[in-house]
Amino acid sequence: MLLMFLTFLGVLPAASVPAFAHHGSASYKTDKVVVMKQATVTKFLWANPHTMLLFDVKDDKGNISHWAGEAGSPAAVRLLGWNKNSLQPGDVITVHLYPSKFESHVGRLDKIVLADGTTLKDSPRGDQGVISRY
Amino acid sequence: MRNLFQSSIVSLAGALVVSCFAFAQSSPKPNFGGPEDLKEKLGDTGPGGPAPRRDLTGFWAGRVAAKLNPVPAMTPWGQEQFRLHKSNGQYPVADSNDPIKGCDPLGFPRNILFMTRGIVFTTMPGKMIEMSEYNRIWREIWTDGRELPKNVGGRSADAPDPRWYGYSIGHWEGDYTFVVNTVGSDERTWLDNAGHPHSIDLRVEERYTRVNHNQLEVTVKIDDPKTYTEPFVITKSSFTWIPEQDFEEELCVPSEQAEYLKLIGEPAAHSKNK
Repeated sequence: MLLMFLTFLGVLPAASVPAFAHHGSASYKTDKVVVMKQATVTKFLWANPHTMLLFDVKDDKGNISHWAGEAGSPAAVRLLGWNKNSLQPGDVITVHLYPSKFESHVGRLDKIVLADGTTLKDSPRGDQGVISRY
Repeated sequence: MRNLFQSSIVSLAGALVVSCFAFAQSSPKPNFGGPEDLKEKLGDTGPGGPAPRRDLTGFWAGRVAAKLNPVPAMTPWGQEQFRLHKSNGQYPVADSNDPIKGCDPLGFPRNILFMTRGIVFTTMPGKMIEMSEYNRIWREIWTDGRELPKNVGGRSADAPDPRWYGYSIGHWEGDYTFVVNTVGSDERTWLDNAGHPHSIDLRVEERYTRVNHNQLEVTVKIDDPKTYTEPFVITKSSFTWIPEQDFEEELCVPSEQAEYLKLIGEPAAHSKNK
């Protein structure tokens, strides 16, 4: 269903394509970003080699979908203002992510906007520009 | 025209349906909010001044991955090995067979080409020690004049075993360039993230040149005639002095990686998990 929505809206070409460190980007549509508002954090894992965020998104009929997003390592995203306590279960946030090519509810985070407007950006700048190698 | 009108109506309806949900599509602008690497964040903020003589000691910040030169033509043996490697760049992580998928060691020389956010040099009698922020591993580089071992991985009883991080010796050329030669890297390790292979015959030369107090440059040369038709320089990269002489802990934790594969890697590659 989500893919159908994206098809309706079209996809703008990305100015540049991010290369994700460590585990690459082959699973994700790196030329588009999906935005999910009013997402509720269910779990935040400050883990190596990737931090992970689990969250729920509810549609206007009350149907809840469970999502998971990955970000860079703690060592990388710490430089961008994250820490172990940046997100707590129950936090309501806006999630921007690169979705899976396979329509599963998984993606690589682009950024998160907290309720107070704080933006936590991911660290997708892995290989300095040679995506085919990483 | 009618088709165009119909498709426009369909698109508009689709957009309205989307607006009923919490999803929206933004203009995709990969959003790089700042440096992922301490090296970029530092700029040139160390104490400065000239390079000390014959001294690399300290904590250095590099990029997560060095920019690599293309590899030369591979031999038939090299091509066959390469064909068997399913890299994360070509396959979803769940389907790749990159050794690091299960937190196996990067091995040498991949560890000086990737996950190089932080390195440390220190000395002990008769050897230089190079340590990595990633996985907190180290290599000993012998400087006591010994030769590199011969016949690593051979069948004779005295043949040394291959090692994930090989066998290394080093010497100074002048006062500011430290040259490291390495053999014996285990064939299970990959040369790079693309899955380029190497053989047990691999010989690597690293040349670390301390340009000044704050800047360290390295050139890495690959010589593996079993795998590549000619020697080549795979990278010229650089490191920056870290004023605090400290860095983050960065590991591949097997239990957390298993959780990652379960929550992210597998569903990202295969199924719809609603």
